[in-house]
Amino acid sequence: MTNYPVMFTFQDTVSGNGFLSGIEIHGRAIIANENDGKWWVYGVHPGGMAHFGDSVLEAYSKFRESYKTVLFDIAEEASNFEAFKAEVQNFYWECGPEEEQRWDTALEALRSGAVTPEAPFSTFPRLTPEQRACGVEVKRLDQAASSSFSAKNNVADTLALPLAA
Amino acid sequence: MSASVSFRDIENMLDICASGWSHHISKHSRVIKFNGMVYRNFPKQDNIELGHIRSMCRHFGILECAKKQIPGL
Repeated sequence: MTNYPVMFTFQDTVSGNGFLSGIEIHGRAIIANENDGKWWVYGVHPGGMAHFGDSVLEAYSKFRESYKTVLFDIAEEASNFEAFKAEVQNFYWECGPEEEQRWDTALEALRSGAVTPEAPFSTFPRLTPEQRACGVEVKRLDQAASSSFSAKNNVADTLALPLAA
Repeated sequence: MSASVSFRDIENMLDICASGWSHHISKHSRVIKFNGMVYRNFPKQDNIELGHIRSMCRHFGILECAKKQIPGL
């Protein structure tokens, strides 16, 4: 079974209790075809989530959808923006003791040529992990001046495979 | 068809491998907590696919123990 390390970017806007928030993450996940025949996406950053599908892209789509519902759940439970921001950051950074090592091992297999990406991975954009550093940004939007909003701030979802550094 | 396990069996596994664990139901998921960590998107249904269990157990660092309780994990 091959573990594919992937990098992704999601940008969302979430309403909470008395606030509107913009969340942008540059995440990491492992995608694998498990013994059940399904493709699974296992979150590394954010950890604490996974989803599956009959194809890589279906699994990714469901993972994306699940991520958004987690943000909605956090928003529902948070009494204010500060609590929401803290919990989203915890959710993003918290990761199992071996998950980053699993991602690094999968990356090393790609770098060494031990793994040759099959479709659709072979069609994904390739970026170095340094070009897409891990990170999460949680902004309060409802108190921002309207002049700070710009179409230039819009970020499309992306899914990429890491290149050697 | 994905292999699945009842939540009752998962509760039994967690009692052994993650003593002190707790959970609550959010609007979209089951939120499971253990040792200061949170697994946020565990499914709410009664039968859970092995991949979700594997993911949660890796998150909590209890996979080896869990494998002894849930065959096929």
